[in-house]
Amino acid sequence: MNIDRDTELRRLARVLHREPAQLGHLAALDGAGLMKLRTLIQNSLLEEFAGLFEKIAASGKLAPDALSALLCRKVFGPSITANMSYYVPADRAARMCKHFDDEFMAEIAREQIPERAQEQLEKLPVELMRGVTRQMLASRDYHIMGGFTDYLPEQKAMILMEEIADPADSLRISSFAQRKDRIARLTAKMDDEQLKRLIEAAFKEPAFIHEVGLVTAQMDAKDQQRMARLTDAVDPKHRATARREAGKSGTLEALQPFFAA
Amino acid sequence: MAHPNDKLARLLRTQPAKLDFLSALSEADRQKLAGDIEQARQAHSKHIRGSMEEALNQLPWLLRAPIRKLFGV
Repeated sequence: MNIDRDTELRRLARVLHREPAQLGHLAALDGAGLMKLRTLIQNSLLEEFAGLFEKIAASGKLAPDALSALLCRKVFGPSITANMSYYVPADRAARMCKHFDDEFMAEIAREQIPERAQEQLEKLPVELMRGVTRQMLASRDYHIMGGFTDYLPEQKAMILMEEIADPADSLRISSFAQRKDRIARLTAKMDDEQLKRLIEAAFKEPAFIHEVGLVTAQMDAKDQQRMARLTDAVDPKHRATARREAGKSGTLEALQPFFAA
Repeated sequence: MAHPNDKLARLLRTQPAKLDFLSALSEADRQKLAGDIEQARQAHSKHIRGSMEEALNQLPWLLRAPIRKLFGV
């Protein structure tokens, strides 16, 4: 996986409750180093209370799903439920989620480490995720959504994309996702009109031009040529702007089919 | 002899050797990073303890002490 440094810096900044600009002292670390550091920090925070969460999870082992879910909602709250969820079998966690409302599920997701929740994401019915997606879009939790996008089964991600009406939101989420190859595959499945709206939104902000460039760079030649054709349809001047941005971000070579089209 | 990553290793609950990728950072940068992690750890700890207190407050008064003991909080 090609680790984008800026994406990782944004994610690490969130974990440290800082702004990316406040992490200048980490300038010597590349994307992979920042990712390793973030994972170590998240795991160490979780481990500090691991004994407690394990005990809570074990104490509810024999209770019916509905009762455990009720305790989570009424007693433990989202933070403890999220941390305890790593110690509950994924099948059971998915069954318990059926008793939670969208708001509570979104609160749990805000507290979770996506890497650790991967198995739950596989088991959880996508219909339950739709409401969570809407909640997170409303609260602009793009960093959480981007993190989850890296670990969500692609088929589910495709379905959940239907909930994102504003193409700028897709780009905001993408800017926190490390797996640009997955975003590229999902983006390539959009129809021409959706892609044109995405391109239009991208060229309104320099950060978005950078983001759409990173995603396009992960597409195969045929999809890059399609992106080029649609970019020209939106505005023929955009490709020159994209070339300047690609020169700055070092993606010129990977975007060769896009510029050659 | 103390390893330059001793403090960070303690904070991150790992072995100093596993932090060799941080050798690209100067001593001052590592100190600053340690401060960032310590602050994040304190915020997380406060958040979890607060959530646990809130949870205990939902329970009948008589149950709180035995549950505290059971979960070690």
